[in-house]
Amino acid sequence: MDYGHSDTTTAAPVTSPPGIEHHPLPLSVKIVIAGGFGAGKTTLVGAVSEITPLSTEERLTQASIGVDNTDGVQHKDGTTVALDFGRITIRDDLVLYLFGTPGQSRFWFVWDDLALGALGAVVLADTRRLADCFPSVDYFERRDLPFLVAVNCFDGAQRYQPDEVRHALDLEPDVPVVLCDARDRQSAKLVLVRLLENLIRTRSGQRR
Amino acid sequence: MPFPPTHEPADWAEADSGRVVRPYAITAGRHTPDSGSEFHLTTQVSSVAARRSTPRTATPEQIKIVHLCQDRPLSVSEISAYIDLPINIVQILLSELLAEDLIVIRSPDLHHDVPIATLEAVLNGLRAL
Repeated sequence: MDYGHSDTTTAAPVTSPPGIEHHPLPLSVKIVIAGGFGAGKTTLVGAVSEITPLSTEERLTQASIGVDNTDGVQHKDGTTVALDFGRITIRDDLVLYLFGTPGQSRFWFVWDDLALGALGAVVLADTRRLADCFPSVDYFERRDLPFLVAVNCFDGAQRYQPDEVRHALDLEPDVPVVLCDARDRQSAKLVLVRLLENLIRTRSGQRR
Repeated sequence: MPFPPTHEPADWAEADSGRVVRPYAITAGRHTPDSGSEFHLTTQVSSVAARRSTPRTATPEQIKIVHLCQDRPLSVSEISAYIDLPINIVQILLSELLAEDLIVIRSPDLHHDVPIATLEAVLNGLRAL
């Protein structure tokens, strides 16, 4: 095994003492799953994750949150924000994590952590409350993080055509809009497949 | 920098969102990890095989982490979820474990695009689901 050498396919150095045996460490990548409250983020993550979605907490310092922090859980030490996430082991040396954005969009500090280094994002749109995904769309546009919009088709909700959603959200033409059922593994998988296809297409089309 | 107050045994009985010991008591008052910039949400952690017998000075939380990561690598987020401690606290504990050579880590490169080959590998893996 090569310790302390960069993996040439990923350029990520492995921090380890020379000569010490350990399990080889995979490269990790992540995709952000965003959308309004109740849009189906955790449902979609759960549909494709190999583990039941887990929940972790990020603690915010007073400096990183505004005065109105009633949406986080208050502790004496500060406010913590919960994040739901799942994982998909792609290969022995490659793991994909899916992180749901916090329930309220005001925790931009946490959004920045999620978006940094992410492959891209999925914005789940709930047609019953389409405006709820405006903040997500705005955020990823401003950060220039590639994303697509997945319209979660709830039972009984009015069916929209992708073009109608595109128009309502005022999306750039290069942002894919797909329909999905976040509860369905194959449907959720296709959302992620579509995102990756678009990332590759965009990257291949760039001239350097 | 002020020292945190010591914790009397009575504090253990205090209700605090389900956690008996206040998080900063777990980290002996430290608030920032030494190499915190390496412990991202998806940084991979594995225990070092030769060091599975943890030193006597290891805290219960440190021992938990070493055991958790001995069979397969886990991300910082997964460790945080499984041992039910906030990411911030876990980052401090991991930096201590790393300094003791009890774990090895692999951090993602968050500032550069992954190679297209990696995107294609992810795509193929997703298609195979």
